[in-house]
Amino acid sequence: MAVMKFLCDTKRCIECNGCVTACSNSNSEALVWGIQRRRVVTLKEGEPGEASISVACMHCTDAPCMAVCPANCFYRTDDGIVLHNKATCIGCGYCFYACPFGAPQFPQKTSFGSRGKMDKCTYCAGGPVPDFSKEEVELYGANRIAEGKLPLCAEMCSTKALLAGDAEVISSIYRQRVAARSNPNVIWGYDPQTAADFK
Amino acid sequence: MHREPLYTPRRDLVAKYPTYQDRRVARLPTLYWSIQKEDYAKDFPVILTTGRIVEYEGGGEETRSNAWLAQLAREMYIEINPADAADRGIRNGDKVEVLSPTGAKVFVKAMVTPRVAVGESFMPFHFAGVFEGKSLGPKYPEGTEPFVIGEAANTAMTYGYDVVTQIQETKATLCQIKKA
Repeated sequence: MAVMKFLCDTKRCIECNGCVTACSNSNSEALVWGIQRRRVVTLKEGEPGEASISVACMHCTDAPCMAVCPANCFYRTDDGIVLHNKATCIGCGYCFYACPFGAPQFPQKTSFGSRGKMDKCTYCAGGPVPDFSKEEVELYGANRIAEGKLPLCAEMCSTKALLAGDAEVISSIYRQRVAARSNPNVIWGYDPQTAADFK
Repeated sequence: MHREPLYTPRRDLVAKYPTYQDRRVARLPTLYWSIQKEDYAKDFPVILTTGRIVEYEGGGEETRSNAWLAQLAREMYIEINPADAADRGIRNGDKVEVLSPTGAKVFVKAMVTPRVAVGESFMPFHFAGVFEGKSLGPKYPEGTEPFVIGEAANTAMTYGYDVVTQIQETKATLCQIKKA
């Protein structure tokens, strides 16, 4: 069984935000203006060693959101994709605190500051409602996995920095790239440094 | 051959690479030396250039009307080096006033970043719909106002025309930046 993952090659990411726009395009029915399930984070902006990485839900194998959810609304598909049920989500925000990637979004602002239903990257795999139903499109967005396609963000990435697919396959692609770059110390765009290196 | 821009902080390069004499291009009187001979750099010490950001295209009217792009870049800004910002008491995200030697001023947000060198600043040219701090939003025909409007960078760009094609100067000028 495949384990679907994202992997962003920070040596290739050019911070074009194409993945963010592709995501907005693919899931437009489920998103409101200003809410992005994916974002590009740039570190050391304008300095030597600048690196960008595209981040969304990483569909963790041991997902902290799933561990902390008091309403048990998360589930994992056979492909290892972490999805959630908006019908049972209570909008408590625990998943947002637990998530190391800031993936959960809370688009609705209602009175008393209540958050509304959580929304996050679905790996373009829809939700727990019937595939391609109107409800699925409006609540969760696209279901490209059911169409046999990968998420649109990775498909549209112009430099192929953002890879999506079976963990085995994309990690071997990444391994080949690192070998070709012959710089095995560079992982995720960083030369490992300690405080002594800055003196 | 290089000719120093009309508005320049490098008077030494003006001596070496002076611009043209004022002339008529076709029938249009066009100023060159009578602008360059003045030293504006004392009052306007920061070099200002304009350029692109990835979200928008051209004047941005179409791309700023696209929700998926407009949500990624919602405000007009000027990039300032941390040293210049510190001199002026400007912090990242502050509203600033950019003054041009022509007398124009634009009101934008400051992005304090080492991406620009000390003494240089950068503005993206994709914004329009605000003129010298005043929104032109109500002047758009009903329903056509883009999602994002902002000061047009070229308001603060200056006089200057190419000697052959009469294309306007949009890349090299001086400005002063003040906290608004």
